[in-house]
Amino acid sequence: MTARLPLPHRWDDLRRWVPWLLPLGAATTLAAASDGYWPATVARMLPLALLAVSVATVTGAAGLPTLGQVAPYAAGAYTTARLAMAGHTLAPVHLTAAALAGAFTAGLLGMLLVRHRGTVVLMLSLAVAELTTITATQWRTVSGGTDGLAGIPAPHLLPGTPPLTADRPVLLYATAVTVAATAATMLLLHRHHLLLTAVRGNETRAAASGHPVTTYLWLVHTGAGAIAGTAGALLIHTHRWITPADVGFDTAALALLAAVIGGTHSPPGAAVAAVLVLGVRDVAAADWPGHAPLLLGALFVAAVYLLPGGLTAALTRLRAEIRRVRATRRPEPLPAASRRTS
Amino acid sequence: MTTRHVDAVDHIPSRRDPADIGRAHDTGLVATGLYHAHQRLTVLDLDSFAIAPGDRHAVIGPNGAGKSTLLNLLAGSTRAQTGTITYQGQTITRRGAAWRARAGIGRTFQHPTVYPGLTVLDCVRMGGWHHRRNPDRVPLELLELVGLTGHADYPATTLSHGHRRMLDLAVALAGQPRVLLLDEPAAGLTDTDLTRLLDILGTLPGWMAVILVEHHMDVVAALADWITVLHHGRRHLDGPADHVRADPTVRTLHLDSAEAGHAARP
Amino acid sequence: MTRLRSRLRRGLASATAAAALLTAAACAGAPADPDAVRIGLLVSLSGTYATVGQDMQAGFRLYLDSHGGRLGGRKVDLVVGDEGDGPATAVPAAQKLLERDRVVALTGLVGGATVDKVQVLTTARKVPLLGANARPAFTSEGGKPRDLTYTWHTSYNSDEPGIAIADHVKSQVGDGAVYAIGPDYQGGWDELRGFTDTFTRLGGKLANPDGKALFTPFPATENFLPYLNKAAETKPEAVYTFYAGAAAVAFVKQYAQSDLKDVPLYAAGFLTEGSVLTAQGPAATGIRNVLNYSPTLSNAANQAFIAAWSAAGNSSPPTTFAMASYDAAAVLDRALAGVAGDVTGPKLNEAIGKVGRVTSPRGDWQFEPTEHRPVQRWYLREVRADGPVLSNVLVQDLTTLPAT
Repeated sequence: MTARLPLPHRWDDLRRWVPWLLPLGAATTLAAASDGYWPATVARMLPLALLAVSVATVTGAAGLPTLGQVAPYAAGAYTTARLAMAGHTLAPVHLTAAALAGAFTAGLLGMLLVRHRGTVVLMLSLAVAELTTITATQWRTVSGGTDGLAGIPAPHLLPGTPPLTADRPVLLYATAVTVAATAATMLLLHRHHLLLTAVRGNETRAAASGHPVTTYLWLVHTGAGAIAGTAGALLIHTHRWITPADVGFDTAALALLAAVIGGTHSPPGAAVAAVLVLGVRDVAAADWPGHAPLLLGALFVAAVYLLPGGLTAALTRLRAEIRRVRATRRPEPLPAASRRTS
Repeated sequence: MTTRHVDAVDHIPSRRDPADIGRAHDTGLVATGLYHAHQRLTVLDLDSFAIAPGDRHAVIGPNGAGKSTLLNLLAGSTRAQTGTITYQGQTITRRGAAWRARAGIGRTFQHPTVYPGLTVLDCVRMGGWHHRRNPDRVPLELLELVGLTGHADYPATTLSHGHRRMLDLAVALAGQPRVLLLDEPAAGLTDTDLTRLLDILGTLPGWMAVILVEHHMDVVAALADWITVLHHGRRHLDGPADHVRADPTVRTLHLDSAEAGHAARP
Repeated sequence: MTRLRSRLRRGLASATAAAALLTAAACAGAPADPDAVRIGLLVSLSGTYATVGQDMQAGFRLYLDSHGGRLGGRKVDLVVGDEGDGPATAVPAAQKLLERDRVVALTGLVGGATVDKVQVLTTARKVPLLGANARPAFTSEGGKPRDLTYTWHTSYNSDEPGIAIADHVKSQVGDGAVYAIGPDYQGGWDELRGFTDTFTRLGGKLANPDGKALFTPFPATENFLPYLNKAAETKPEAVYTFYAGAAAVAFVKQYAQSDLKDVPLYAAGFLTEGSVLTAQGPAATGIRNVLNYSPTLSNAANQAFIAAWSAAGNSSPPTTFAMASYDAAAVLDRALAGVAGDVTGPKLNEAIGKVGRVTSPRGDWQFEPTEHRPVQRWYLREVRADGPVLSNVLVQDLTTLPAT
């Protein structure tokens, strides 16, 4: 067999595991920091990071640009909030219930959304985002109305362990969940990479070969809904409050923009970009009160103009450039002593 | 057996032997009462069309005769407005293209497109996934059949037009179809590619039914044992291949279509 | 050429990234003046409520500047944060003020949802929250009622304007029905509930078909004419409403064009308070509204306040938002004066509780002992020409709330 084209991820290459350890390492460093501000701030960014992963999955792998992942996000969040307020505070229970609620919601909505393409999907998903806010506002028994819910009890990791209230344990927990969920997503997408690329690239030919295209897209959409639901559970675990504005168009737009900045075909890139976006809005702009929208706008313009294809495409170009430079450099002659004798 | 040709608007009955049509109903693909119009223009109006396992059936006619429409209706990529399509006795009129492909109806496309982002080998792999993963040797054998082994690991988008046709054929064959619909496979091929195409078509298994839409009469001559001639969406003529080819009206129609852009016949 | 441009692009990208990182790193907290007392002011400086937030900031700074930058004899370091549109932006900003700037008191807060969430943080950190605008109903926290030890407001409860005016409206309409309309969110629900509950308890009737107030989609509604014309069909004797901001401008202008234009309009004072009145123009004339303040109040504190306000360069009269923030600064002034030694959150909180009667442009008031909000007079105002401009002119005192 002649040399193969490199696939996006080769899991037999150990170096590929390094990027997954980086966020865990960063989180551990932050948690050990003396300033309590950073663990709390970064922990609060992770729900949007995981939501951006979900959006990037649907936008990139399924080829359907979507603003509608806030619906499963809301389903997961309110399920968790209500469970916690009813006295069921085990984190694994919350995560499972939220993922199921998210998958169910996305499955339902997907039956409408995956039948369409391109701009039509985007418009329909915009309607979904608006309907999510309206439902959350009107369903006061679940959501507490426009002021939302506050003082939601903190979760317990296992029965008998203390509640997760302190900022540092919450950061480590949230990072672990985010990394695990993103890794699971990448694993599944990698397994079906060929199929998804083909379906995205030439739907007619794929259908003519017998592939149920709509079913595949629905499966991706539903799976992404489970991730969004998990992100919703993380929202409650890191904030312990929620308002309908948190599951509306603003959040959906931020998640989609993070997915675009990170590179739509890279869910981990979307997570990193989400942290960057919120970092600009909440951290960098904090010393310049009132100008966060301006800074965010500048960031988006810069990203679109300077980084076409997003962060991951820029990284790929950088790596290719390094490889090219290495290849053109002539090998240096060996010193006499180490020249092998034949 | 004499051939008939009439200029009236009535449906010209098919000259198929009733026994053959009965066989097609049970084991093959049958379409009845097909009528397809596009913005008030009749594109196809065919009372019956049948193909049984082993048949090599060509559909010819000038441009705009409705040949591709017929193929799309049979393949399921166009939804039939009226009429019934059955396959192996089961009505499949409402079934989509993917379902029919899984049932055994494969096709190639008039304008072959590939899967952008995939290698040539992966494209062929994608042709057969619904049949539980093919072992790797099947796609490789198909690539050897169509003469693309050297291109196996290259992006499919780097192929020339002729090679893309070959790839499209390999992808269709990877699905192990029982009925193969070929949409102008010879269009735009060089002489070398044409020879290869004829070789491939000659190696197709005897149990496979083939419907060939084609302008190139050499390919029709080499492959078809039965020819249907369409004109303005209707059956102008049908019968055994050598008789239809010898018919003078068919020659005129064929000349019209072969000489693209020429004025009305003398 | 393209290689140069792509290299330029990459260079710019890395420069932007580096700048962003440096900015973040530089946010290691501004150097602190060890003698200064750090107060946090968290108001909306961007988004829908920006005008209210800027008013509140102006009011607080007015008091601070007219006292030489000192409160309670101590130098004050005022750190401002942007609340934005709601808790999503307000909570991170509050977190920064509490954790990094280590403020000993947090004031401002425009939105009710923000107060609801930030209050949990300030109570946990034992830092007094001196809100100067919205005060929500404080949903129970994990089954227990909210701990209000560290929570104070210099403003009002959202249902109080409606409660205060209900009796007056009843006396005006007699047996006639009143149509109630407002925006569909917690603030709207609270404001209208205050009116409709009290009004119906006094024997009044609502003109609304189902006997319940009508809520228009918020913040989406810009065209109120369909709602107003439909309301006109019920032939009400009067209309009661609450709207604020851009919605208030649209509502008042369209009211004057609708079939209701001859029907008396009563409102919570926010309908015509501040910059919205300038935008509404003559369409607002004659609207009778209720609020805890009017620029035409004749007490000495108000006259000093108005003088200082215009001297500071503000062309339009002060609003209740500015006044409440001004009072928050006054409360902190008296409280800080009562703290001995180092200022900590608990000590400051205790001192706020001992502030007693506050002299204010609205008239004197004091904190209600358990709910920590003002016991104050409510005034009936009417939009009239006050010299060359329109103003909310004081008509009469209505009542004191909360009723003792």
